[in-house]
Amino acid sequence: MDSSLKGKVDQACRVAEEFTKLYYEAADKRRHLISRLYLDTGLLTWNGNGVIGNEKIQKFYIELPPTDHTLTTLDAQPILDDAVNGQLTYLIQVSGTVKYQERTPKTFQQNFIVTAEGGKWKIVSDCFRLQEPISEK
Amino acid sequence: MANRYNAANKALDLSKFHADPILQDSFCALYKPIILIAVIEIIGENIPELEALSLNDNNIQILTFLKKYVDKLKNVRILHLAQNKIRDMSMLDSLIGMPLVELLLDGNPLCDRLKDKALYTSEIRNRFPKIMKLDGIELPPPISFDLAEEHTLPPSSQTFLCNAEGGATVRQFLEQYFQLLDSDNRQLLVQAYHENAVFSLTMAYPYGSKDKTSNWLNWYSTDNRNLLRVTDSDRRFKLLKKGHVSIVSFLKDMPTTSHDIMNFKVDLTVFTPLMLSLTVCGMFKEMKSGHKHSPIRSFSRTLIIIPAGNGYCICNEELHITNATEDQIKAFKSTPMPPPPAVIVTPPQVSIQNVSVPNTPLIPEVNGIDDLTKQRMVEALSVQSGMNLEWSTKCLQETEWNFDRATMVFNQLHKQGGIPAEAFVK
Repeated sequence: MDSSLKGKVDQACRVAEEFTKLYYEAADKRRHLISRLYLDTGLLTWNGNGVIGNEKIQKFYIELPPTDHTLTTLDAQPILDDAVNGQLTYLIQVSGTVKYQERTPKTFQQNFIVTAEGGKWKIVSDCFRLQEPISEK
Repeated sequence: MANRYNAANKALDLSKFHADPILQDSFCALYKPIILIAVIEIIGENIPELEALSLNDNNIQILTFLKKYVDKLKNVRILHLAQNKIRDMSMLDSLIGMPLVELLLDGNPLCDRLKDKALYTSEIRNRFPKIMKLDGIELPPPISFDLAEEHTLPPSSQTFLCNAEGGATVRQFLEQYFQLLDSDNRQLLVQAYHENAVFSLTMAYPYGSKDKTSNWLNWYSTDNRNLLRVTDSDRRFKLLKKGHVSIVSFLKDMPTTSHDIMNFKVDLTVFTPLMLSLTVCGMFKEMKSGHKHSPIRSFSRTLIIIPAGNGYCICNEELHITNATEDQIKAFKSTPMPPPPAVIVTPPQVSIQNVSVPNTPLIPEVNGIDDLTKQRMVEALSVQSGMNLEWSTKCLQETEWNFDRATMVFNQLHKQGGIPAEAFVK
């Protein structure tokens, strides 16, 4: 049992490495393609703002200021079969810094639930938070 | 410095500082980097809202060392640097990033060197694009391209729930989880995890932290499963904590904590009968970890939770720990400590005997009390205690709808003055 788990863990890590590379490249430079990374019904929560559906997420992304992400940490696990009915699904968590236009970088944390659908990895949920207090407004 | 600050205009006048009669005993010349840095540190600490700063007539020559301190002056729009000894335009590079709209530079050698006014203006605007007034002269507005529009970030909100019905479940789960995590008996958390649950930890220092020396994250670095650094697959597998027993034994070893649950940022991103996905970001104080002052850490936890029995348990967890930034610490300190939730002392229905039984639901069943009864209890408590309905409800929720406990807890807290006045506003 342990050996099959090890294989799954191994694969989760490799998918996470490849996925994050593609994702942040799309977020920083190819936003017009970012909807392809999500399920049609995918969800983005950006600092507590929810955006549902891959087309709307792409529109939301296009309206954000230009970004430049740098990753500091990456972590990934296969989600237990009990939770996902045996469908191959990974939990990925990232931390790093993001520069909006030329301003000083801000620290952020982000996590993804990524699932295999039709031979492609797709984002079920994408949750982004800047590491800063919520302003009073 | 206080007598040189004009709070109404948010303006600080430090011109000819070395000649200040109050400071005659000590030689405080702003052309000395160490003095100027100290002054800027004081500004950052005490008047971060500062909008206008005059440093006229201070013999200042060098500014390069200010690069690291510019973020302390991030609201300064008006800067006076006239009658100093700045020789070269490149000295101003270190101030890039300040939102300047007005700048005084006349009386500096660099002005004599750049006689061409158009060139001079353009050099300044390259560094500070929003400048509207230079050396007392209004400048024509800059002509820009339509494409380069200013984007702003959407405002943040504290909580996102993909399903409003999930709110109560999430709140209850988090309250119980963090009560146990902050308690002396983390062993009880074994009930919060699925027997095959997996857990991993990553850590990093936040961008630009300069207090690395005092708030080392050493404890967390041994188990840091950062896949960008840990590339060996055996090691990646080993760093994953597998099974509720090994997870809880790890949690027990972690430094003790006190979480600031009121300021948690919570995102519920999946809520189906099969599973929940929950992200919690926030801060905690690290207790008894050998640091001189309890460090304030920032964390982000991603949890995959599934129903178990009549409660819930965690089957995947990824925890990220870092230091809180200066802004976060400020927010942490300005939050009034909430009255201690009454249930902390004795987590209801979680008893040590249960520990060996895996998957015992963490959330106890509300003992079949229907909404009508609840409403009557709220009304009764409100009459008895004088608190409004909202606070009466809160009090009953926190005591698991046990009316006697609710009144007891109310009396106790009220005696200690722990109940805010707003609770009595009807």
